[in-house]
Amino acid sequence: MPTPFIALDKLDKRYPDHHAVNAIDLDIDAGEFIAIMGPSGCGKSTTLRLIAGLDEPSGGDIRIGGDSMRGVPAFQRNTPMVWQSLALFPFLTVAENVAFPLRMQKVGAAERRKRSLDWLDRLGLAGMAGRNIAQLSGGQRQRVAIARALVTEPSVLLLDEPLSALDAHLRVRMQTELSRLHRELGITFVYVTHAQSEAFALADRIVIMSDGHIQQVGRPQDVYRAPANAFVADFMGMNNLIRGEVRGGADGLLDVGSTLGDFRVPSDALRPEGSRGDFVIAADRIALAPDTGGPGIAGTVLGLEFVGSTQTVFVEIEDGAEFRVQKQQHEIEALDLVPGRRVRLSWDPRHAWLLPQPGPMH
Amino acid sequence: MTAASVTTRASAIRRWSWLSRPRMAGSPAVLPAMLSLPVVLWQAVFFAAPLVFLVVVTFWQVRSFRLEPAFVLDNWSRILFSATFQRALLHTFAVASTTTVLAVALAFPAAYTIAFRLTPRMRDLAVAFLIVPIFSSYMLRIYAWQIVLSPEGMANAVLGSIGIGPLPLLGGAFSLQVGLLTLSLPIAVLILVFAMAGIDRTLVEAAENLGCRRGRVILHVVVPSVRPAIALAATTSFLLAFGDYISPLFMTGSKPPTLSILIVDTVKSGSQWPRASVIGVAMLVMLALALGLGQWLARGRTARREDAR
Repeated sequence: MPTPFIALDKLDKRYPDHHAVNAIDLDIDAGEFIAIMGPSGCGKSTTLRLIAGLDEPSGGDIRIGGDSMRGVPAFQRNTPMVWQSLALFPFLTVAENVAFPLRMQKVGAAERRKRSLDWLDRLGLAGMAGRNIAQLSGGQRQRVAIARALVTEPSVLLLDEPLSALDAHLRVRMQTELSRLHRELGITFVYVTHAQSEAFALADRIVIMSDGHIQQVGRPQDVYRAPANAFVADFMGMNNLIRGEVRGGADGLLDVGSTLGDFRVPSDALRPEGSRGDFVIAADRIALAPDTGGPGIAGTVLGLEFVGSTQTVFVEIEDGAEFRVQKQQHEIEALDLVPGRRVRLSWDPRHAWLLPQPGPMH
Repeated sequence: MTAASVTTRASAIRRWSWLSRPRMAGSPAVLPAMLSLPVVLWQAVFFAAPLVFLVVVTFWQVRSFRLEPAFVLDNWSRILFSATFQRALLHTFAVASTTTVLAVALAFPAAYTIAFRLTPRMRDLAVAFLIVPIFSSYMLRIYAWQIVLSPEGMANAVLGSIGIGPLPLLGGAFSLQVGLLTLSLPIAVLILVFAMAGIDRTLVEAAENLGCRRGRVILHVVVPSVRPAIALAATTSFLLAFGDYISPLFMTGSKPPTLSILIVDTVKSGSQWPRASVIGVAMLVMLALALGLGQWLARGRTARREDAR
């Protein structure tokens, strides 16, 4: 694409007590579904509010469709947002809520009614037009909030943790709904969440933030398989980090020495001996066997956690760190994995991922 | 071990439900009814009984300055058809309505500024300044206004220094409204401040996000959100102004008389307790109507439509 649809340029937001957004750069393409993730207080919601014009940046600029948003007030931006609390107007009916943005644009009453009813219909809320907000279920309210945000046919939709107030079952249904809307409308979705499952299920690209910095931007599979630093590896959850030092290497494989032993890690480029050689190994790439010696790391099973079709095995390894290993139910049974069992962890060196550089966080 | 603890917890739940279920399902809640008894008694003795007595007295007679039980409609017809009463009723209604409009019109921007524009510290300070006068003597405040508004008072001194006046500030509709607003305005402002402080700020942001310019947020979000509080502030101002005795007496010298002044006059002239009671009952009916209107206005358009279904 020649120019990005939304461009954050050294965007900065400082509060008296903390630096919420620290000079971030980000390009978002037209029609892209982008998810901004990170722990609480990482600056993801502030970034969204800056895009919407609800907060004033301390520095830098936001361009939408090539136009600088500097000095453009929120009500002129047409960057509708879906709030976690939904922020529906309790004193208006369902149809009046949806028609609110049209009323602000001075659209005539008949046209307003027609367009809001169309959107209610589109979101499966036909027949709810005259209801009070208080009479709707959580899922229905969510749909009203989405209809209200989309009724002006904007070119971007901002979503601030829109599904975190819903129960698990509804959340999955609304994910499907959002995915369908994004496909049908072809507009840009900027989606802030702390839920990895939502981001992975929905987004074309994921932005990982922490402490006001962008840690990594990439497709879900890239962020998952090739974390840019220890923070991202840890945040993704299903990665095990081994800290080490480069001892040598050849043929695209580095020799890394660590307190747990020596490992071979694939690398595009050689690194000088003595430089950092931290790498991660994903939880689903680790093989488990009874501990009878041999290559790999020895450890003790601490416990198991059921996650759908697989289980997560928590293993305490030699240096006291905790490793996570993902296994199918039948494998768990075959190995008779119970807490206290000694196991040996090993993996194909090709599946190890060398962190590009020592993480700025550590 | 885990299985054992689960069993313990389950049996604990059973034990509790065994204790509570028969009572909930059996006799109706006796304890709550008994707890409310003191309040019911209090209301009966100090509110319902005097009210009933007030109505009963309207049918009694006064013979040689003594009150005698009877059943005559004479008091009602004499008062309701007297021109003095009718004039006083209209006058009191007009005065109280003016106070209501002024109080809400002045209180709304004041409350908006306090709730939305001040820092939390300043907001607390402003609320404190509004509460203090409520606990100070109303009488004292009215005397203070008399001094300020008198022909040689502070107000005229200030006006005189810029070449205006002296104006007859005391003893007219203006000073009467000053007095009645002294009573009702702080309360109206407080009611609106608390209501506005309770507005979800996300609603304000959502309105702006959806294309509502700053100034119009007041009309589209603030007013509909605090509609019940506006009705409450208006009703309270009306009730206070309609029944007030002190301001009409000290700020206008009882001319023209309001209904409360008429009550005092009626009692003083020949101990006409029954006729004074007629005026009292008439005032209560007016206040009940005002309350009902306030309640109706408090319910939003949306809620009313819901009732009509």
